[in-house]
Amino acid sequence: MTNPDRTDLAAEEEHILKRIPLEIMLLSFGLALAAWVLFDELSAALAFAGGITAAINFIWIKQAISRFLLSGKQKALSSGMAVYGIGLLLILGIFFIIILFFSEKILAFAAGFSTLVVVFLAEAIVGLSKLKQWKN
Amino acid sequence: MIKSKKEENRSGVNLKKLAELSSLGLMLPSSIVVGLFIGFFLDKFLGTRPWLLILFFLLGTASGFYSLLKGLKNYLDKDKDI
Repeated sequence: MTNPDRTDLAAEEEHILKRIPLEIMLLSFGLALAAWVLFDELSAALAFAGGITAAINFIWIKQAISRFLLSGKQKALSSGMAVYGIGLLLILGIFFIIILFFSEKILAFAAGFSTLVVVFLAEAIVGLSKLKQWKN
Repeated sequence: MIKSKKEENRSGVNLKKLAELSSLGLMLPSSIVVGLFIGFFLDKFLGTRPWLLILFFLLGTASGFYSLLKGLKNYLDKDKDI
């Protein structure tokens, strides 16, 4: 019926972006519980660790992009990407440790890490349904 | 009536921006995960553990980072046009 104004949308966007890391952690915790029941403790721990890594990765990329969006300059893009690059190197280090020491269990970690994709898809579906409601 | 139309356009642009930024956030993790899966199964079938896993993981990371940079640059160019 009524269209939400810009501030409402910005607040909604901020709310969504803030809750995504929490949702990733919750989903990976659920996945870890399932892995504990179906496989073993190590798979469960790695699945949860994957979720935590995905949440940290999301927070870093969000900071890098918002830094770039706030200034809107090409220079901010390179500095934001440089900061994110350092964070990415840390994440790569975690992946390498798991590949070297638990290469058999890497899929458990990858499953935890890919909860990010599931959360994004769920948020996209919720966002689309809200958009439909506003249009109606 | 005109005002509500303007607001509708703004909200459309905002949601479009959010969708574009969300897809940027997905590029890197999805590339890493795809690389890991391909490497893991190739290693399993060819018995080369862990070399192909490491190779495809690095390829996935590099392609994800490249797509992320390319997507951000496209986004910046589009923003300039608007």
